[in-house]
Amino acid sequence: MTPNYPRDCWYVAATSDEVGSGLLGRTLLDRPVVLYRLASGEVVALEDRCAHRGYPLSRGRLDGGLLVCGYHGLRYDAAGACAGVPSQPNVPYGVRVRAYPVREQPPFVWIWLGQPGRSSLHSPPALPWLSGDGWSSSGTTVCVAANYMLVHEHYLDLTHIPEVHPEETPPGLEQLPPLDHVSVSEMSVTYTRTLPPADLADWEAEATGLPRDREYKRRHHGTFISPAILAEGWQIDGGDGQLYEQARIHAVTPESPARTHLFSRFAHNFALDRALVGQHLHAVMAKVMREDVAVIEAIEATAGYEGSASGIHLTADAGVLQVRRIVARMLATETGRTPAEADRAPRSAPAPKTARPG
Amino acid sequence: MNVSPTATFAGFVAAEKLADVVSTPKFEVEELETDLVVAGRDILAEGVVALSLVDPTGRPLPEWTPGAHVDLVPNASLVRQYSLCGSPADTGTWRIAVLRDPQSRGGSDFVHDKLHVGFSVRVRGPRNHFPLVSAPRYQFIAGGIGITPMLPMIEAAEAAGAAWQLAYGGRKRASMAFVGDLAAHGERVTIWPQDERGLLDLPGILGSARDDTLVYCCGPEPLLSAVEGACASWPAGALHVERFAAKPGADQPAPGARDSFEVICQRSGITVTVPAGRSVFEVLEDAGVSVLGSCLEGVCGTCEAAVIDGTPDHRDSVLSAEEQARNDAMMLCVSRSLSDRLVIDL
Repeated sequence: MTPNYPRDCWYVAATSDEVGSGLLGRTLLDRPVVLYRLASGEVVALEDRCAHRGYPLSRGRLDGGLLVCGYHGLRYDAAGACAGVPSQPNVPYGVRVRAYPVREQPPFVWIWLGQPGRSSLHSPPALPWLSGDGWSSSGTTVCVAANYMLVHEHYLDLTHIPEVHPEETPPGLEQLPPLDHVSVSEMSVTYTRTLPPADLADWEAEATGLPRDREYKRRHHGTFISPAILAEGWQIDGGDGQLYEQARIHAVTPESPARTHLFSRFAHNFALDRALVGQHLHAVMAKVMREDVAVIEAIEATAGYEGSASGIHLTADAGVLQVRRIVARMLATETGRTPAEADRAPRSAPAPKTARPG
Repeated sequence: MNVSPTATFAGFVAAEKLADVVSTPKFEVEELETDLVVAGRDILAEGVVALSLVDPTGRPLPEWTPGAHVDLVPNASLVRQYSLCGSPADTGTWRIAVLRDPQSRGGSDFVHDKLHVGFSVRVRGPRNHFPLVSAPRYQFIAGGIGITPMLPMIEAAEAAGAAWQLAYGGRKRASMAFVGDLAAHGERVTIWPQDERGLLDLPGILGSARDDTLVYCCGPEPLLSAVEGACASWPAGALHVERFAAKPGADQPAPGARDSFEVICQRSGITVTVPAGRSVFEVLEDAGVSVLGSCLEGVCGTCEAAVIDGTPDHRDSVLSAEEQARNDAMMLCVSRSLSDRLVIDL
């Protein structure tokens, strides 16, 4: 299928700890990218393809501040300009590889792969759950063999929990009630679901330490912040004046139409001084994530995204449908069509036109 | 409730509210509403005040793109739309500029007289029915306070390296906001005060139809109508206009309009009969179908629904003539039906 992802958006390229002293090669939105860190700590992202014979620069080495191609030794500076060729005295004029705008907001390194000038009009979203203030977080990164919208749509409709994650489903919540509320703006969708009082699931009891002799109110909520980020939270009202919240932040970065980098972070706002709680939650959420990925990949392998998106809609899809509209509009304005021409599901990007709609 | 203070995304549910939830409320899809605080207030020109709106707890605001507008909702009966005129890169502040309208229905008077620094106001949105579609060249045409959406558009066109020109008309120079800021763009901007130069010379500004140019126009109705006339020979889709009041005559029924008709909501499985004198929107809302709505005058575009079958009688001021002719979308608040039955995706 044709790429169905907006390019004019900040996406997560890597976690901060993935970009160390070495070279990290990664395909992002169909583009080969090499990421590395300068001595100053600044992260650089260049096209991962030597301007000479196309060898991946990520297989080369760093020499001071220069990236050296591992084939014929061409050297590139942090702006992507060729700074020297070993086999000839002069530097070929104007030879360069593309340098992509990068911003680091730990734990993520963000990249702009769209129209370069437009990067200044947008900022990577602030993700307060991950900045340490009142929250503790950990994470895991996987490459999912599926279109990025299948990942978003999976996390936008959590009525799959009892079927896909029966062990983590609180007893009594085998049927999740519909969403209470879906709230939309031009670029974001927020949904909430209030759950009837129910017993604690094992993982909830172990993490919170709450007594199991009573039922607890919960609320699940989430926000599609951009095509790159979906955040959701699972709140348990402890009845003791404390709200125990477990948040999952999913950074969704398309690699290609059928492969997606998923950088998931798990955060919680309680028992911050107890490392075991964090480890326990990490183990539970990592298991849940593996189960999620298996479902998403099975859909890609059979129906594909287009097949999946042409399925019937249920009440629980209210959030999904709003997100499809946002993405369809983004694709349409980027490629130079009027939004009203865009289909409601972002099935695929329309063929690029150089000028205007016809 | 003793919750650790967290500065989360403004659209994200405030943690402390869970304790207040007693029963599950009725499910609804609604536009984002937030209470924002006036952090800055400037008089930009005669009768024009600009407000900077921020989240009271400093949380970042949802993203928007050039052409977007928000509703100010001082109370349920006073809802007004204002274009965002700041930079989309500033995720902490939304900026609007409001002209005091002598014929005001209350909205601009409220902003001018009541919204002082430190005051709180409910804001809904943003939404965008005037998006800046990617193109190599733009002709912007603004009349009076219609300059507001053009400012972020100009910033975006500059950032994308597109060519652009702005023709900006107004009653007189002193009443025209942002004239000073726009001077930095030199010859790309033509300031056209009516008392000095008369009405905008549209044939001169637009020239002959061009394939590489999109025309964006916002301003009073006579200007919008004139630009629509002047662009008649331009390719379909070249002209984009933003209206904040219904287009004259838009509410007139088309020949063959049904007084009463049936609407089938495919997704919810609900069928209703819309009688004469009631809107599709009202009838659907009464039937418990979750519909979005804001201006209810066919102007803001919030209630747009996809049409699966049947032919709508379009009476809105949002969709262009070409968009209306496709009959694949309609505004539920004002549009009706030319067929006995409409099937919509709700």
